Amino acid sequence: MLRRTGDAIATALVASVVLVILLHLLPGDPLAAVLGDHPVAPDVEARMRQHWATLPAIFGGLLRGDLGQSIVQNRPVATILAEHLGPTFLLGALTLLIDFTAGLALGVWSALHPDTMRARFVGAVTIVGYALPSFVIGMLLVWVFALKLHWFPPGGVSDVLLSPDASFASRLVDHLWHLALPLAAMVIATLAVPLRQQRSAALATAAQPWVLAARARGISPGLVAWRHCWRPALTPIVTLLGLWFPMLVAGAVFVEVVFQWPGVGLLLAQATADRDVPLVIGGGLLLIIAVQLGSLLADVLYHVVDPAQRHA
Amino acid sequence: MTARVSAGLLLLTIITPAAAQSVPRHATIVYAVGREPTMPIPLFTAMFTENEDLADQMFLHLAVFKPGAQVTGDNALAPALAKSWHRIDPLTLVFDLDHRARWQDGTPVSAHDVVFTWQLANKTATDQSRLEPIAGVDALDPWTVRVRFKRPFLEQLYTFAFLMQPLPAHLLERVPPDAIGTSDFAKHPIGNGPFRFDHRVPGQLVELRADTSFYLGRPSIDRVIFRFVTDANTRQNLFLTGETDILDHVAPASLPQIHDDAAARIVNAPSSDLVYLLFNTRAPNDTSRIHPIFSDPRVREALTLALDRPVIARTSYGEGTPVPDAAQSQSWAWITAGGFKPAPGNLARAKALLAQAGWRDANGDGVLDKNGLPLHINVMYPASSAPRHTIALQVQQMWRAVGAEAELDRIEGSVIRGRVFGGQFDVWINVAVQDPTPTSLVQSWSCQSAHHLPTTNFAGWCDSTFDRLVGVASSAKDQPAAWRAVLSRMASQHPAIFIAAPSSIVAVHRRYDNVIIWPSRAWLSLWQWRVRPDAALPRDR
Amino acid sequence: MTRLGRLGVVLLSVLAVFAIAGPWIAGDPNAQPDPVGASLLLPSHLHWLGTDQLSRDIFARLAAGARISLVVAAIAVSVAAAIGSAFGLAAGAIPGMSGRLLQRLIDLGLALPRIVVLLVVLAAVGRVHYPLLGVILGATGWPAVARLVRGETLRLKHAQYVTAAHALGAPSARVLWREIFPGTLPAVLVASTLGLADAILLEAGLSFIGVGVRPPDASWGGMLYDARDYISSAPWLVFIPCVALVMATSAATLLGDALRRSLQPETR
Repeated sequence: MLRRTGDAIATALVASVVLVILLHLLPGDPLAAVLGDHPVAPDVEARMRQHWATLPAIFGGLLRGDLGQSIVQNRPVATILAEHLGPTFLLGALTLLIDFTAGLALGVWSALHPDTMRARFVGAVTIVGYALPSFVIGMLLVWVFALKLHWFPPGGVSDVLLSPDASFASRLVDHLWHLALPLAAMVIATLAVPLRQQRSAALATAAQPWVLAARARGISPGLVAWRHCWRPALTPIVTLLGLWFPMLVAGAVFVEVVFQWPGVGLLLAQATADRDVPLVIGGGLLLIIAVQLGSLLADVLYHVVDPAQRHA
Repeated sequence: MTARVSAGLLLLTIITPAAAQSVPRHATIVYAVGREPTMPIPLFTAMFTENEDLADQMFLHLAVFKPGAQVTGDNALAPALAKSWHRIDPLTLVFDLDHRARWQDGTPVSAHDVVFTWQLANKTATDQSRLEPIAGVDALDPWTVRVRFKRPFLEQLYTFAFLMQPLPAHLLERVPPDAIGTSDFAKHPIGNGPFRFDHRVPGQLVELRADTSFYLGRPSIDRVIFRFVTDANTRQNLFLTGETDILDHVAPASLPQIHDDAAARIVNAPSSDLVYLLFNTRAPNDTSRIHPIFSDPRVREALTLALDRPVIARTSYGEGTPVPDAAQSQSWAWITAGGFKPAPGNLARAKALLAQAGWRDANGDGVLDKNGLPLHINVMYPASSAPRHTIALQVQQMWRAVGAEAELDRIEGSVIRGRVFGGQFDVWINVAVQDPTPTSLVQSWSCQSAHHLPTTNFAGWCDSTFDRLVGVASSAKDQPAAWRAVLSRMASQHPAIFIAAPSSIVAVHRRYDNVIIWPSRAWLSLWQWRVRPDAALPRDR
Repeated sequence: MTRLGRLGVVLLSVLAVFAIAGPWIAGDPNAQPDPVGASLLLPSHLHWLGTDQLSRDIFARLAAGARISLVVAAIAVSVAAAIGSAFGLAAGAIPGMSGRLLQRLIDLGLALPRIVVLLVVLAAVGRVHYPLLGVILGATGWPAVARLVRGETLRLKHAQYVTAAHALGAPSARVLWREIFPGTLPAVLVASTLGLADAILLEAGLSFIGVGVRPPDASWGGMLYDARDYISSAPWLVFIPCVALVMATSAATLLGDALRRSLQPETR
């Protein structure tokens, strides 16, 4: 376990180095984001460029644990990242939660009732949801539920007019109200994967002799399901978790753009366009760490769920 | 229907007590902008419109220009911070400041603030060309400022008074100029205008509150919120769901939807925007040589004639968008009486000109060539601009008909700046915001600007006849006629293909009255917009 | 093959035919005959699926988009499969330090979030012709294939050890090529087919952000990007590319599922 953690850290470090080097490839610079179309004398430009961190300086800073200043926003990168972590985590964690619980439940259920109209319908709907790009789902949700029905807001994370001393309850409700559509978009776009995994796992388990034996003894199908099928069905979930953690953080980029949800994905897209190198590095680092955390978590859960299985 | 906004005088009236009572207590206006205004302080705005718009709410100009009028002459402006002015001699103007003006911490605004700001501008301004004509500024007494110019010209008043937005000397004198950008003042500016800075939520919004003791009258709007939303589509959606009150740069595609929205009103105002395709005069990969294709004026004329410019203007900016033949936006409409009359496209003549210039299709691939060089043109424009994308697609198709092959380079802003300033482009689709005064043409179109950095004459265009005509027009008695001659000369030389002089189409929530939108500083009179008491929303109470 | 799998094949074939033949039948996807008068037309005998805001024929753009989206996805998947297989085979077969080093490289590839790398690389190279976009997508997708192939290689290697009469350490190159490599193919095929769906969606998303194919090239994602402003006034501009996208990605997914069931019966 300790070795595994060490591996994760090492990989994260090397990945960061590669990222920083990759960024060096980027043409253009933050001048446009800072100065716009404003012409400045060449020596002023040179002075401004000097002021911004060079590659060795960035490395040095990273080794000290200093993420530096955002060139465009003129604020510490760490502060900006901290502000964006909350919305990212909220959206990502809730999507994961719903995906896995609904995916597990629906997957087991459709495994136990294969070939029924309902199961086929659920399967078809999730495939279509998966096949549609997440931003299209977002656009359609905004069009129907925000613009036509006015049930939910079309974007943002909270109401700007909410006074700073509003009650916790009203702020929570406001956040949830803004979360609804982006979350729906993410879930619709991704539910198919865990659902199909669960269904296959549950199907495989349902065919096992000991399950058939239990049913032959007259134990109700429902009970059989929940006692015998769900645990083995967890294994693929856990593998999926390892692959999905980063996917959710970064895969939310398109949804975040459509809803202007201030997560790390949107931040990265904007920072890359602005060439705000310290911010891109900060955001990229965050994602790299998330990837490693995800696979570590998966490994831990793997052992918890099925200690007998050989680690491939 | 659209409310035609009359470009009236900015009247400085005190709102009567009766009117004040009927105004909702917390009339609020929420405006979504595309970028966070991180530096809403005069002299430090870097000319970002968000910064300037926010600064205009907190810091008064010395005088303001009357929309639609010429900015030449001593009567071109209306009083603001300066209540009056008079001329001593052709080189000197004296301004009397309004004694009632106060900084938001109570200190009176004095001539010393003006002098201080002028000195600060000299130390920090990255573009000195605007300050160049001014010889000196000094305070004759606490409320009188004397400005001396280096030479006589008609726009002296405008050059100094509109561009001067004084900063508080007593708060900034002891701060080193380099440190002002990161000072406490920058984080919480103290101005003298109708609104005071309330708070900022980084990455989300800035909120301003009315200064109830504003000397020109209590603002009828109590709260101004600038909200940052980078995505144009989301800004539109937020307006349609009523979360914001203003939507600017309304896309022509969205007009029907907004017309149908009962809560919205569309306001058309003349804008200072000018959209054109700029031909580079130098070779993009070696700026010491002339451009292999565009140095021939026949080619430039042919490429212009190949386009149906009214169609392009219409699809990109909406029906009725004026199309100029030279660098003339709607705010300079006074130069040509009777509106814009663009020269029509002429495909046959375009082809003939190209043939005359020696371009033939030697290898039969549909693209003209000359001495082995294909008529291959790279058209560059920023990825963030939807109208320019529409323009580029149409230009590409129309040029195909005359044998010119356009490659579209849709680039991010961070890369474009380097290429534009370095002259590394063939054709660049630019949207310029024109100054209220036509003498500003020298900044982007004169020989002087072609050869001296820093400059906005990115193509390096230089025509001595044009320069001479501009010089004549600066002091001519018949201003419109003189400037018409200038624009004619430019049109005949085809330094660029002028596509549109679009209007400013703004959608505003219906509950606001007294809505006036200015050509280049749109929200100067925001503080006088009123919320109709019967139409107030919850956020106004 | 199951019924659903056959459905997947049929759908993909229809799309392939559409992509190949469509542009021939439909004409120029970029022609703008009358941007003012003929824009946003509903389907008619002249324009089978109507026109967009610049009077371009939507059927023609859809066909051109099919070609582009499918080619980009196919190239991406092939490149990822090729590079990933090479790395995975090597990492699984070569023992000792070199093998572990290769494994580390694969881990490193997996550690870098694909979207970050894509955003940066695409920003660096700017607008590229669409086949090159496919190569770039594939070059960022190889680690997942490599991990899969390495797992398969290890499994087959051990199986070889069991069945072979002599266990002499590292399998010879001949054994690798003749026995192990073909053994990994089913997994790669399944992963690639499913990966086709992901590649199509990824390309659509990148075009939607604005960093995908070069204008005026039509890709389905690019068409969606252009149609965003028109969702209320001309919703078919959004729905038509959507339907195409759903067809393509579900077809790939169904086919992948079917392939997995038939080629890899031992998997869950």
